[in-house]
Order: sequence, then C-alpha cells, then structure tokens
Amino acid sequence: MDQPEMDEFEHRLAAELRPVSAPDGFTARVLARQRRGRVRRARAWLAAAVLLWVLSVGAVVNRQHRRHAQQQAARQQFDLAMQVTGRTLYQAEQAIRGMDVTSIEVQQ
Amino acid sequence: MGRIRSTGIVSAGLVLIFLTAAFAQAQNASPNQKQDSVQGDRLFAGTESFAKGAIKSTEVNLDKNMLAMAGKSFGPGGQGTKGALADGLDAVLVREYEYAKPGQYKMADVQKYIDRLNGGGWFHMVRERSATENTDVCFRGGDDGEPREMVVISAQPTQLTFVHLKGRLSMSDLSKLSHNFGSPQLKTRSH
Repeated sequence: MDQPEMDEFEHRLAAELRPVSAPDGFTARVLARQRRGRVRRARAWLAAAVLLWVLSVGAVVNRQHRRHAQQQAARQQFDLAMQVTGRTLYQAEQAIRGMDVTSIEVQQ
Repeated sequence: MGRIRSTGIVSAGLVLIFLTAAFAQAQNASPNQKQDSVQGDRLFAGTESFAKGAIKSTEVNLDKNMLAMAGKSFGPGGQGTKGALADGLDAVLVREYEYAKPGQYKMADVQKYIDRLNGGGWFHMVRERSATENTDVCFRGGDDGEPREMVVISAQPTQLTFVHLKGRLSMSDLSKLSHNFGSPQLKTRSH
C-alpha cells in the first residue's frame, strides 16, 4: 500500500470512527426497558410468593377440614360407645332389680 | 430501588409461607400423642367371632388420640358428662351383637372372657346370674386405688355386649352414663 492509499484508508477510518451521538430518547428507552425488566421480575416473584401462600393456606384449610371431620367421626363413635355402655349398665341395674334374678353378688 | 422492593416482597412472601407452615404444624400436633391403643386389647381379643349370625354388630375402638379428638368436639372444657368422660378415658372398646333369636351363641364361649376377669387385680362389683341373663361388671384400680378400668359383659338371649373402658373413671359420671345414655325415655329423637 503506497502513501496516498494509506492516507485514504486512514481518512476513511477516521471518518467511520468519528463520534456519533445517540438517537433522541435512546437513554430514556434503555432505562425504561431496564425498569420494565425489574418490574416484571418483581411481579414474577410476587406471583410465585402469592401462589405459594395460597397453596399453603389451602393446605391448612384442608387439614382443618379433615381434622374437623375426624373429630366428628370420633365423637359419633364415642357417643355410640357411651350409649351402649350406658344402656348395658342400665339393663344390668334393671335386671338386678327384676324378680327373675336368682343370685346377685355385690362386692365393695 | 426496584430490586430492593422486589427482594422485600419476596422476603415478606417467604415469611408468610414460613408462618403458614408453622401454623399448619401447630394445627397438626396432637394434644396428646400418647399411644394407648385399644388395638392391643387382649381381654376381648376374638370377640369379633360373635358377629357370626348376628343381625346387628356394633364395634367401637377408641384410643387416646381418638378420645382427645372426641373430647375436643365437645368444646373447651368438655360438655358435661360426655366431655369429662372423653377427657378422662384412655381407651374404649365396645362390642355389641344382636341376634334374631336366642341360641345364636354359646354361653361357654362368653364364659371364657368372664374367666379372664378372675384375678389380675379385677374385682367383680356385680355378678348377676339369672335364668336368661348374665351380667358382670368388673373394675380394676390403679396404684392410687381409684378405678382405672371397667369391664361390662352382658349376655342376654338375643344380645351380647362387651365393654372395656380404660382411664380415669368417675363413679358419678358412670352413674350419669347409665341414667342419661341408657335410659330409653331420655334418648333424643333425631329428625
């Protein structure tokens, strides 16, 4: 490459590398995009947290519901057991008082 | 600023989840984890065989945890006799069989269970024998001399009943039980 060609090349290179000012609103657009990304991430985290919270509350409510059902079932069984026990004791008492009893042993 | 805010929201969410999980754990914790199962009740082991030929069978097994749950359903402080009994008892086992006609079970088979109550700290409070009915009411006390177990075996021509209660037994509660639960005229009618 001779000198004139070299000068021409440098001249073009300098022309290509000259500072170019950013288009109007470029900085604002970049900052806005960055802000939107953060908001999106925050929303995603919030949605995940809310979802987890809702699932947890749902699990608690479900557990309480099952617990209540178990309590009611236990109570029904207990009532039935006490009814049978009470009736049997009552019948025993009545039988003891009855006339057809041939022997009674009561020990203190 | 935005990052700080989102971190705060996530932290708040995690705290909420943690609190919810802790609450769930607290709810799940049983008030009394004592396992006093009636499944291991040897006294009446095998009584299920009397269900053969019965037109109606009632079998109830309640351990300490079930009784605690039943006691809770009566509300805070229990509900009179029922609540007091549920709170005091550790185990309940009931077997009741009804037959269409007499002679559906052998008295000799029932006698095996009555014989188990001879000795072993049991004392017969009532041993009633008649031409058609046999009833045994037995108690066994704890170290403090208070009754801790009660057994009732009632053999009638068409009905056979086994009851085994373990735990704190108040005689007054049992008396109320007999007259409130057993008395036919006091039974509530469901609509």
